[in-house]
Amino acid sequence: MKKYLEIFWLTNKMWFQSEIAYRVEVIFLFLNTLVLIAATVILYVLIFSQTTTVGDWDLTSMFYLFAVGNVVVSVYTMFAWGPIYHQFRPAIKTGKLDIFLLKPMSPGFLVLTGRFDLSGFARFVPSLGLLIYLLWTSPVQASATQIITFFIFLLTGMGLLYLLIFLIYVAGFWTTSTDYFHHLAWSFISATSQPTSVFPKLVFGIFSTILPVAFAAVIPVRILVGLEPVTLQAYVGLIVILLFFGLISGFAWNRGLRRYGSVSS
Amino acid sequence: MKYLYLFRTSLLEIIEYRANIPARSLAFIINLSLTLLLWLAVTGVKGEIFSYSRNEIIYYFLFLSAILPLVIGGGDFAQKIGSDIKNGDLGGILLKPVTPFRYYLSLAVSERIKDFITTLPLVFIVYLFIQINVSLEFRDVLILFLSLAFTFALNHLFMAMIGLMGFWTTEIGWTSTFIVQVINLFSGVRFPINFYPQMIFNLIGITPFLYFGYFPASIFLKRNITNMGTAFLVQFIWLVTLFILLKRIWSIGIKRYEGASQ
Repeated sequence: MKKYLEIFWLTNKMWFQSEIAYRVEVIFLFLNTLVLIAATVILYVLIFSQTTTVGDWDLTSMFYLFAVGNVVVSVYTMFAWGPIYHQFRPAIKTGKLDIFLLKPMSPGFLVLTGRFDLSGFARFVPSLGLLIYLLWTSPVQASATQIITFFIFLLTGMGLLYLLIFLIYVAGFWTTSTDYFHHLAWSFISATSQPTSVFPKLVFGIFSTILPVAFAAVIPVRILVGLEPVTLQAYVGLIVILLFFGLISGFAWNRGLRRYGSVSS
Repeated sequence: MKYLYLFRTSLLEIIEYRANIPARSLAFIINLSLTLLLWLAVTGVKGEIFSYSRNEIIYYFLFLSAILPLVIGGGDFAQKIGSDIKNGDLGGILLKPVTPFRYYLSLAVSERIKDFITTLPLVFIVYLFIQINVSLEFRDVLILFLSLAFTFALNHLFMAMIGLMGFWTTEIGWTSTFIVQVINLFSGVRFPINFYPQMIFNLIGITPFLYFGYFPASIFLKRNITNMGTAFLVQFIWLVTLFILLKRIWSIGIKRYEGASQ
């Protein structure tokens, strides 16, 4: 375990240093994130100057959703997107996956971790800032059960988001190129902080089951702000979906490895 | 003729890896659906937002999704020029019997058609569900086409200028993305710019950004645009200004350029 943690730390540190090599670019990366966040804040303020609620979301709960969704996406981007997109995807195509497979460690760990993405960090800082500001100015009145459930659902939702994007790129074992798959991956990731619960039931049903991005922010935030009750059915649903995605990811990975062939090493 | 071959090669690239086409199309459908569903929810109770009815706001974003890919280059075009400068590939282009301006123009046209081909059938599917009811007369269509031609030229000149920053900086990836995000905020791509307070709206009116999304969409929606002639004159002035600026930046930058590409 210690060895894994050490490798995780060292590889991420190395990539962090590599990503900050172009200082001007880093400044523009942070400015870019600020503009993106400001754009949504402006949009929400303008929308809620005309209406008091969108579905059952008021401005404060929408900001909570936006802040939590962005924290989730930024953490995902920092530690998961880089390995999947920059490491795993090209490794299948170029045949370098066997380098990871031949090392005396878990190949899944090696290929799916250790590629820090600075854009995630640039998004994390203002998103966390916004969340802290919200907790300071408009604290939520939540019970201990609500808070615990919020964290359980949030962490599990992040895991589900990870598995969903992994499943998109595992298709690389069967296709020649997955170069444009990032459009699809990011359309799911960006749905994380959308209030999908106000969409038609069928759409929200899709985002809570077969494309379970709603678990990464929408459902936890609804529980936290009291728009959704904490029920046993919700826990059971979460466990079933997590099991399903865990099993199908493992199955796809094993089938993919069986199909994989290379002479790179 | 040689530019036609460049155009053709660029188009062939997209059908080389077929799995990318459904992936891109599905992503487009999801993004468009999320946008439309959000605005449907926003207009849900009152049936309107600011001066836009529910249908108008849906048509607005549908128009931008369908037509903008045909005319807006975005950061990719700037980054292509910037990376050609950085990688030394510009040297190869300069040695070819093509003029760089026309070379990049043919690439831009093919890229836009590629994007348009990918998105238009999907917009048509959405259209079948939504049943757009906008009746444009022949004159409106002509004005719309003229406006889109201006949008194409203005946007690509602007993006080319950003790309030329590559003569002076090592990387332009996030710089160009940042500029594109700022443009998106003031062009009406994220939301119609008349949502802003009047003073900000007036300020945006003197920039070229207004013409990157909001202006053609307003023509399509037949919304009341005061002084159409002045709007086209402003666009033309911006077009000439950007063209002169681009040529000037190019002539200064190319003197600094050194490359060793094959």
